[in-house]
Amino acid sequence: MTIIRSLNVRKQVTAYLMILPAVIFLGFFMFYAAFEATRLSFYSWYGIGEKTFVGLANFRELFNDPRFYNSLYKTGLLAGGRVVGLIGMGFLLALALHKRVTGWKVFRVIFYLNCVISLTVVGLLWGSLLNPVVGPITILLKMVHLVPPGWLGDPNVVIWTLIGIGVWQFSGFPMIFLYASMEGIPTQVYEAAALDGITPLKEVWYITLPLIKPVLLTITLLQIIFSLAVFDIVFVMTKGGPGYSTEVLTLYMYRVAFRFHRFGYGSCIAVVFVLGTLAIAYLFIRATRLKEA
Amino acid sequence: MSSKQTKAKRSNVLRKLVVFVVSGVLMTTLWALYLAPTVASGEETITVKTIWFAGQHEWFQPLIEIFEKTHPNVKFEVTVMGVVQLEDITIQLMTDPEGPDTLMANYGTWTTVLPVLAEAGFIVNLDPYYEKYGWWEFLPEHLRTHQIRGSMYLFSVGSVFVPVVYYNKAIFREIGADVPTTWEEFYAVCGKLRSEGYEPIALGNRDAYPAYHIYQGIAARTVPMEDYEKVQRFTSAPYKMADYPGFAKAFGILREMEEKKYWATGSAEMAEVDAQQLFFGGKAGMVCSGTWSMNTFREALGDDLGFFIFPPIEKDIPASLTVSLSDEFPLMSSAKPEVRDAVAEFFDLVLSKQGQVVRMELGNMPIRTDFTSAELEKYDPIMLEVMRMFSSGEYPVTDELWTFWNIEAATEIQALGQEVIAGIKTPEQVVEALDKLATRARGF
Repeated sequence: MTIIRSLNVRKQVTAYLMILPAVIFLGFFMFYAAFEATRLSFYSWYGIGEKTFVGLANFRELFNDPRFYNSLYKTGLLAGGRVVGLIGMGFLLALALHKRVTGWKVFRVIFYLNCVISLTVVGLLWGSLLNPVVGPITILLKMVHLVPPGWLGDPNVVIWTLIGIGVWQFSGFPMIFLYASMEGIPTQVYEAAALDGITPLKEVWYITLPLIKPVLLTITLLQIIFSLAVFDIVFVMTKGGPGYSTEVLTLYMYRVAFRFHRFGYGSCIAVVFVLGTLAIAYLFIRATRLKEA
Repeated sequence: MSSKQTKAKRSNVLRKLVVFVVSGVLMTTLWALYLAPTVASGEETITVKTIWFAGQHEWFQPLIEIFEKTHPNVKFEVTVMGVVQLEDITIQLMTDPEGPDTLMANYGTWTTVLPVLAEAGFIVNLDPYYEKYGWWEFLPEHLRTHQIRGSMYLFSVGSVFVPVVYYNKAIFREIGADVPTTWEEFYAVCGKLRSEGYEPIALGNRDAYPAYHIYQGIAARTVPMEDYEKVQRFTSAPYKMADYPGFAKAFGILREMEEKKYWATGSAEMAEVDAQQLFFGGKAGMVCSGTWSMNTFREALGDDLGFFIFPPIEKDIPASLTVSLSDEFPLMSSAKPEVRDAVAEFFDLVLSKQGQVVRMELGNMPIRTDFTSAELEKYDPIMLEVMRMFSSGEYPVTDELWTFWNIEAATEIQALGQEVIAGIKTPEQVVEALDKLATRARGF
């Protein structure tokens, strides 16, 4: 008995020792950083000199800042569009692979390949494809007598361009998970349904979708979180412009903190952003009953 | 142990001793040779850690080489960075004891931070050096506006940078257009270019800053100089743009030119480099830029490159030259007196005729106004003409509008310029937004 207990203790100590580096790393770079950012949000600090405690002044300013609401709206639009596009496209691609379309093995690799391309490369690639003078897409549209929209210059179009580029690049990510999940559905289920004469659409609706629901919801939640935090593609392609038409919250936060040197106010935006993301994630879990699924 | 063995052992020890002594002597000699230059001159090597903007480094590097030859005890450790990349970490660098001894700064984006850095002792008061080397003689009226509480904390190595309109002489000849001398003529040329199938003005407005340069050039022609400078320098708040209708009018002109299709098609989504390609490729008749890009434009168009400054817009406001000195101000932060002296001596070389000639040979405008026409004739004719305009006294000279604004206003005027061109905001809304930004957060 004593030997078993001693073995258990040793196992536990080993386990704790093994996770210790990760705990230290996370503790310093995540929890301490989050704590410091939260503390800083109650101060006015320009990166040098004394920090001045301002209480809730930064939060009051934030909730009266029209640019914050603009960036909030743009974040919602961009994230919403991306999530719908990514999950929709990812599901369709996964279904195509699951149905073994011709060349599915090649497509499986090709569709996922975009996910690993550097954002800078993606920015350069789409920047030249959409170039209003020499871009192939512009030339193609002009050849068929269509007027190309201002992909990156029209304030009403540019956000949709960014959504499209995001969907193009990252559809492979949900596709891989959904495809793996579909592959886990027992073939007998489909065979039984086929005997009952089920149509392809009904098969997807009544069999595939319910059976991959847990994965679908989890991947949707991940995409919501990733999409809310989008910064890189906006920074590379539009820098928030034209004007502020693509200035998402993360970009605004970066500008306030690192361009305007208002670290207190920037931290305040960060705190509100994190709390908002957590709230959305919580509401999503509650609404979809993800835990039970 | 036999005597033979003892002898052999002794001989072995002796051999080792000889090898040890010879090696020691050799190493000491080599070490002495290595130290000779500094020991002989009685000085230690002074290392100057610098960070330059990529553009400035091109002409600093040849001067560093000249300087190091004449000052063998000084070595420069140079890091080159992009403007935005450097600005994002400047505070950290300046406050780091191991940080650079001198680095470049954009004055316009530092008006709020520099006084704090100066007060906290992170940047060096350069008054003694300005007096010692007589630097006040170069554009003193501009330098004095850059003082912080009556003292200079910046080396001024900027040039007579003037926003200008470049045009393609061949295209102008082809469509029978002359260099416009009034705003109506300027619009007529734009219209003619469009009707002849050319893009009138190549503008890369995705980058935002080109439209800003154009804006401040226009504003200097719609707002009387006295009022322009009140708003520009905030000599005594509250001077607001909204109080002077010319500022909104200038934004209105930017929008009007968009509506009249005088900007190149797709300019809102074009980067500046792409817009320049339109001009270089003979597809656009004009491009609004500045003397800072004279070299690139000359290389692309050769003798077909012409230039003019924006013609007057209002009858009682003459065309002026808006000088951009703001992006070429190295700061000094070293705590070591010998490093400070070396840095100051280097910048004296930069500002000397020898230093400025290196600059001009690379196609950049000089900061010195004491070059004769004969000396300037060796370089681009545009340089000679701009320096003539500058020295003639015919044109009022001022700094760019944003030079003394706080970082938020100075940065955001570019995005707001995009908004007004895109028709998202009216000129009045943009002026109101800028006034809010400019009057907020001035100082800490």
